[in-house]
Amino acid sequence: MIQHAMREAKNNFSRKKLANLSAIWSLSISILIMGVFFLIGTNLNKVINDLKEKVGVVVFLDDDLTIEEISSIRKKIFNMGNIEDITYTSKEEALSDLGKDPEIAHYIKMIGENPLPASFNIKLIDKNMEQLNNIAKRIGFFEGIKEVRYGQEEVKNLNKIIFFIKSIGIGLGIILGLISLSMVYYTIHLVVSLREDEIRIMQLVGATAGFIRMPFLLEGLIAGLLGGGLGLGFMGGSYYLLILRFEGILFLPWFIIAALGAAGILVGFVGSFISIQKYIEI
Amino acid sequence: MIRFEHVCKYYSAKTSDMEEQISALVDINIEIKKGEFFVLFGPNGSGKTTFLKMITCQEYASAGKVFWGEQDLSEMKKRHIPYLRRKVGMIFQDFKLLYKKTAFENIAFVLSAIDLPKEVIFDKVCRILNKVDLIRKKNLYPYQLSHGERQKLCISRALVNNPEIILADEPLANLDMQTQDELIQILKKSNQEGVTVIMATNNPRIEFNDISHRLLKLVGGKAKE
Repeated sequence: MIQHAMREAKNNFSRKKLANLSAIWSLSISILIMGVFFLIGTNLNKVINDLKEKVGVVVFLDDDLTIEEISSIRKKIFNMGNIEDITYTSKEEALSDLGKDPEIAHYIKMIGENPLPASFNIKLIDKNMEQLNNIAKRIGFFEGIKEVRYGQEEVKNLNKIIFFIKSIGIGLGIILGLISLSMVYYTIHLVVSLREDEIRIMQLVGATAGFIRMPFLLEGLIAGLLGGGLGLGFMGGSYYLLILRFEGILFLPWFIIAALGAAGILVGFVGSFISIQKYIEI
Repeated sequence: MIRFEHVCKYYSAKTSDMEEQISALVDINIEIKKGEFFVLFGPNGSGKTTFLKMITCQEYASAGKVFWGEQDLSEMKKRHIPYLRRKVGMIFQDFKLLYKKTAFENIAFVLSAIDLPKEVIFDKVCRILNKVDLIRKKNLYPYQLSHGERQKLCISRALVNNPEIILADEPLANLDMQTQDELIQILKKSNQEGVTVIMATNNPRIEFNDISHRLLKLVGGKAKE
């Protein structure tokens, strides 16, 4: 039965080459576009993860604190848990770091005094936004704290951008996927309608629904496989050209590649299944 | 073997402002035994084709039941219907030949549709073509055959898989007398070999000749034996 189905699928493919190639092409473009959006999302995720590594909580201290008071605040912060490291920067050290830039050094000279506060730079073990937010809030209630910052706005905005890009990618991919599905549907429909007489006779002489259906399903699967493969091939080629110019760009994770390939096969299968279904009524 | 119990078949037809019920078969009660040569005689539109279609589950009764042995065909699961149809050889009024396939391929196609191996198909097709004297024309296309030869091809396709029943719907239509006789002989021979033959026809030669074991007249969907 499999041999027969493959032979018939091959014949069907040859019979309507142009229609099949259009369906494959449409599917490959859908997969490519979805892949591009996922690629952008993957790399933006990397940026945000790198940023998170650098992001910690910066606590600016009041100017008039004694060494004991500073030490006490440090202890209190450490005892909150989830603290990897606390680095203290004194007013003088902060001035010295910033003064390395000649323009800023000139302005500071003009002011005549050191405007920069002492600070703690806190690195967390668990760096997720909720933890950062939680710790920053609690520290803000301590005595002797001027201000608490943790780059929350930047991380939030980046997350929003990633979500937006991925949503567009998925939305566009779904729309294009539906277009590809309908192209596969009409291609198979065309082939099936040309063979309607044969199908009818096959039903009357005792061919099972599965036997009749299988060549068309295989044809749809092959179109889906080729479309998905071509789309991923385009992706790979584009990525190769990109990394020749830009370093450090990540390719798609393996499970996304597998999902895109599977999506292509699924579209091909579903399109052909729906198409043949009405002809199979016994 | 085949039993019709109070079988009725209605079709709905919409006229300008109401729906009408058209009777194709009305209260048919008949039993066709294994090995019988049974003729359904009647004019066009008398319900003969509908009767034949019910035996292969192409149509279902609006009322009553059709039995194949003990199996009520209305209760047969759809996935079992193909296996029922493999026991039946069908001869169609309009031949239903595939015009892009040769004589050989038209018959082989039927056997490949039930997934028989190539060697078995070749052997069976050659034998049946020999039987109906079409073996020399096996590579010709239907348009290259005469009307009678096409009907012989149809009969070969019906016989090739050794069916239990042959359903012949107007097999003698538009044939000359000699060809009609030839075809009837083929069907009679199959019947003598144990195949049940159910033939639907409006050919008066059949009504008055001693061809069948039994003849049932259908007029307006009603039976007159």
